[in-house]
Amino acid sequence: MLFGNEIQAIVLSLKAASLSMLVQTPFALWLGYFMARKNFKGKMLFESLLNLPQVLPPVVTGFLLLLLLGREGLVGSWLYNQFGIRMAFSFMAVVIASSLVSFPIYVGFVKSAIEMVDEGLEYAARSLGKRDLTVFLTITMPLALPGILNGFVLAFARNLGEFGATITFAGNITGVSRTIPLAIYSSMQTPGAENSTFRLVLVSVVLSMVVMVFSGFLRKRMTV
Amino acid sequence: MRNRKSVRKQIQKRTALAGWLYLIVLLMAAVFFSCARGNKPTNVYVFAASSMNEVIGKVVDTTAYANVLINASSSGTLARQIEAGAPCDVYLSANRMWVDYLMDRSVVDSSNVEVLAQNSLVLVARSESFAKAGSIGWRQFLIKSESVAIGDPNHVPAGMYALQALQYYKIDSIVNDKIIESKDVVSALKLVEMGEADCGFVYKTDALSSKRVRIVAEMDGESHSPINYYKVCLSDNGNQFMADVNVKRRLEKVLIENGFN
Repeated sequence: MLFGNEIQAIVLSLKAASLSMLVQTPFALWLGYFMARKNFKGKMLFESLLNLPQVLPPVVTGFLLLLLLGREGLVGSWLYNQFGIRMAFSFMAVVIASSLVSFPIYVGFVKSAIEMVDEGLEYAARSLGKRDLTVFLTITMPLALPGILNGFVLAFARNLGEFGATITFAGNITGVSRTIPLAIYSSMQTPGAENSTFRLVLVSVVLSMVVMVFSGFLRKRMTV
Repeated sequence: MRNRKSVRKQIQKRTALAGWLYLIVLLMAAVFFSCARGNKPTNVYVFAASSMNEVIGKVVDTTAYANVLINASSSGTLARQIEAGAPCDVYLSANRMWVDYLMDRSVVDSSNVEVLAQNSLVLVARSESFAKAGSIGWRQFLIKSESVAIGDPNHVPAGMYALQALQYYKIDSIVNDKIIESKDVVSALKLVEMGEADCGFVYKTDALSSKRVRIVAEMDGESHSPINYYKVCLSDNGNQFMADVNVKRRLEKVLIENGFN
């Protein structure tokens, strides 16, 4: 029912999204906690920079990535000359681009969820002698989990749906960077390939629904 | 009011759930993320614009060309990616403007630019309307149509060619009010397919790929600027690949099959 190149796009999307969320999670948790609990000079500016990928049109984000990490980019040229590393137009580029656009969403929800946790509970635990990390893992995180899960689901969805930054920074290369949205776009540009478009759209819808239903189920289980 | 025991139970339950969640995610990553990276032969990157994407895709559809990676986008996006240092061995452009763009910036030398294929401009209509079109001739059919779909002449080459053809046949003033502009030539085709426009100007190759429209008339080559597709080799690998006898043979075959000249 599904053709080889379609399956390739689906597997690629899932691989990239899984890796992206995996890498993002520890950072999102740490940063979310930091932003929720600590105040520092320039916090507002930092928050604005963090949310920049969310506000910019995705294609612009992609071009900025290209200018920064491309072979002739500010950082990319150094990476290429010193280590021969090429970041753009690779699978890593897909992960980088989609991570960049979904990270602000993830951190935002984690921060809100942690802000809702009674700081008194954390103080109580610390006063009883528990280390900061223990307090975070055993008190803060479990209580904030429904919100964190919400953030995960929405960041995952944003990740799967990312188009502009991906096609600009990672290209539209079958097997390497042609994720589901790019595959849908490509089949729409091909006269006579409507059926392929429909199949991929259907898979997208099913994937999204599975993730949402699963998260809803988990959230229900968590409310005692 | 909740007592200490139920709060602790809740926290334990949630910690356990969190653990399971993380395990699931890790499993996903492990299952899908292939760790084995064998030694691949050098990759040949082909940046193909619009219809060239399909063409080159069919050419390298066998395992012999597993190392050929095709990046498909619009001529403009590809050109900008190349300028930013993207790994490109061969650039197949559908728009001369972007080839000139790269030449102006000394990314490409004119000696590496060649015309690969040509396309024709055709007037299409839905299969249902075809009989009517046939009986009265294409000019009358066009004049009697309520709406004509073309690509936006401001940035879509196909749209520009369509306007040129209308001017050449001296019917532009009559048809001007009926024109519906679309964001690209494929969208113009879709407008006709879905019955939103009575007819439209698209490339011959697009018309042949569509099952729901038929070609009413082919515009004379003189009526518009040549519709050229350019082959730009940016590296030795690229030169080698395009010079390969098998590649050339398959390319010619696919081009003719799809309706290119």
